[in-house]
Amino acid sequence: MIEQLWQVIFLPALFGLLGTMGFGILFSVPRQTLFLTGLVGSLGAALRSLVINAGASTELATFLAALAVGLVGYGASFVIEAPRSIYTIPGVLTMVPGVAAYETVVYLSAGRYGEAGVSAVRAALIAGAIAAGLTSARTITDFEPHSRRHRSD
Amino acid sequence: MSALTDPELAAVCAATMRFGLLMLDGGASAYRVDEAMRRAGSLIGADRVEAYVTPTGIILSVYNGSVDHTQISRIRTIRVNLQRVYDAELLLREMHGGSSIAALVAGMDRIEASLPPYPIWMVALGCGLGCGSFAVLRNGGPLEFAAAFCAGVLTQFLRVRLLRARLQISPVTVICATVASSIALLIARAVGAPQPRIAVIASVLLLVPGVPLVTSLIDLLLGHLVAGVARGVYAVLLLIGIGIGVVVSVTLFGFMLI
Repeated sequence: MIEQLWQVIFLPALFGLLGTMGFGILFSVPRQTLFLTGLVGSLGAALRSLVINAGASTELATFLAALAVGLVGYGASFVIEAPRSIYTIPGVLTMVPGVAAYETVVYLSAGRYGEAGVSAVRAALIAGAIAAGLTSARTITDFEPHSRRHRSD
Repeated sequence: MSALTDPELAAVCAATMRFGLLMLDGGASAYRVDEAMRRAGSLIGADRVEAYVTPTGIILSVYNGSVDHTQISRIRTIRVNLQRVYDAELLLREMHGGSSIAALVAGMDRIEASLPPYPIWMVALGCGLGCGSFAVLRNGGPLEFAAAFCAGVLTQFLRVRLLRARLQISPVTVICATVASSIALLIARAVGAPQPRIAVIASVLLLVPGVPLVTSLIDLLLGHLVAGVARGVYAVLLLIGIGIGVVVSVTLFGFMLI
């Protein structure tokens, strides 16, 4: 039980935190927000892993995780006031469809176009799930009137 | 708002334009740059500000009473520095109606003079950590982590070098992807990692243009179609470059990993 929890939640959360902070440094995320950025990504990675382990498809898991990153990133932009993208962009980077994209190019280079097509569609769906999650989060949160002090991006 | 003379409005236009370029150069979305220029321009005396923002340049008109002024500026490279976007937003929040142009210019001078928030070695370590962590998130073990980590660190150093030598971003991406995946592949093989392909996949993650991809999405969603499409195509081109680099190294080291 403990081991399963470790595998499904804590390990992804830990490496989601480290990975997101690492890429946060690459994008010059301000020092004062770096850890919070990492926490947002950590949540996304843990949720993605949890949903996949519950038996859902990678696409659905990625959509839900990206949606969560978008919403929590929006909340974080009030904790330490900063543009929202400082929290969301590094946060979704660990969800990119690396395996599917890799299979696509390797199959293509081997002339196995049918399999390449299948992988390409999977990669596009997962990338689309990230996009859909982030834009859904933005659409939900932008319903507020314009009167707020600053709109976060 | 008091009426401005033509030279005064020209100064307002120049300062507003510089502010927009500062944010655009940090990787901000066209939507955000547009909003920020609008606010900055009205704070320092323009009645109306119209900005047309693309990823590589800005067209700006400011109006005051019967005078108006228009300026076009280009930027040459698409870069990412979220600290700048953050600082620029902070500067804008400190300003208020009646703030002088001098205050805005002084703030921009300060931002442009500030050092990058992280030294080069730290960025390289961050890249290594990011790539290594991605390997673990894709069910890699400690060996895959190590291979991706080393590849990430070394490739970031290489990328900084190549970009400083004024190479274009697309060839740099292909070269870096080739080098990163080759290093990851060789290390994974040398240490006997059970899933070398996970190391290869993770090693090129630092090249993924995450900021242009997401800002492109924001712009498309919020109606800045030209900026959104342009940045999206730019990002996709870099992704194709990564793919080419990976294929080159996998072919060079001649064995299938699927």
